[in-house]
Amino acid sequence: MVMSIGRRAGLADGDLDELIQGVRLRLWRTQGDDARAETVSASYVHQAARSAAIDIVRARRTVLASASESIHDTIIADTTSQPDVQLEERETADRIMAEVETLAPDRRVAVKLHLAGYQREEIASLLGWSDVRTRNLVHRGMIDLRTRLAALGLAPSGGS
Amino acid sequence: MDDNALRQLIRSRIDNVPESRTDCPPPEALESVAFSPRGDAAQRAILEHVATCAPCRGEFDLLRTAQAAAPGARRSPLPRWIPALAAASLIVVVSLVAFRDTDSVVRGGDNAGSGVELLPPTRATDGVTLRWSAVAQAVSYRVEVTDGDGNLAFSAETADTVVITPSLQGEGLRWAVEARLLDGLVRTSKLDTLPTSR
Repeated sequence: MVMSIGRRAGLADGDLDELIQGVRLRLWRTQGDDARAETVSASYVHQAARSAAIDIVRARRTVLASASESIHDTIIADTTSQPDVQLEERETADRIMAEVETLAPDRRVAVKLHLAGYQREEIASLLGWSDVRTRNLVHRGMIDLRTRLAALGLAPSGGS
Repeated sequence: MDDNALRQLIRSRIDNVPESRTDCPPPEALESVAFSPRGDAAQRAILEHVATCAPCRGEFDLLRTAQAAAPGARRSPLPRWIPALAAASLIVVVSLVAFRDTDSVVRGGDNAGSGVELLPPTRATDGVTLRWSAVAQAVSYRVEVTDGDGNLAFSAETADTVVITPSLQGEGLRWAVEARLLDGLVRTSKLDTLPTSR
């Protein structure tokens, strides 16, 4: 169940296992025997999780750098399976993303995070905005975007 | 085409772009935004990148998952499942090492970009648990405890933000932390008093 939740959020398979393992190793390394483990605070576990997570990210960067060539080949091969549909979707997405880039800065970042799937309260927290300000910027940003896309003949409907 | 359709279209595009990652922010920058969101211009640029880069999004969500495990953290802005996931992870870890969470938890403020903020020390089994707030882009921390005469009583180097000292005797103990940053700069805390172990 946990893994399915992780996948839904876009976390790669094994990320959570890797994180837990990293925390475990840190606790064992620093705490040693069970007696010392009694002194472990929840905040220490949090710090261990933090350093484990950043280590995973660093390690992944290294692996990706060395594997980038094969990844690129795979993706290029995949795009040839349904070239017409994929090309059209890709072009549409590129036009939308290009229009997003033309939005006013505050609306742009709000819309990008909104379209990336972040919830309003997450956006507010990440940007240090109030809920009202966030709602306003997402709403107005999406109106701007729809207007621009309509002008391009993409005519999206629906609300934010 | 509603918002969800727009999301799916863009997500599909982003997921299928071969990513060289040459323009991606360093892991420490993602960590800074995940753990110390400030909403300044630099962090906003990072967030805009995260929103349109699948690998960075995955890394950022992983870091946010770790952040959500923070004890006593303010109400999480993450989706409802992430705190639950983090809590589940925490429980697994906790059960594996059989620790009892008896310490009172004190969370530091967001001091990224400034000096190191020391948190109140707590008694450990033998010594004292010293904690401080993380500093953005810090690669290591040096902790020093000095006695009333200024002599070094204890020192440690760590990548974490917690150390447990051995038993420390004497009066007038003080401690400080020095953060060494990725760019070679150093940030220091104030010198604070330290209670003796016993």
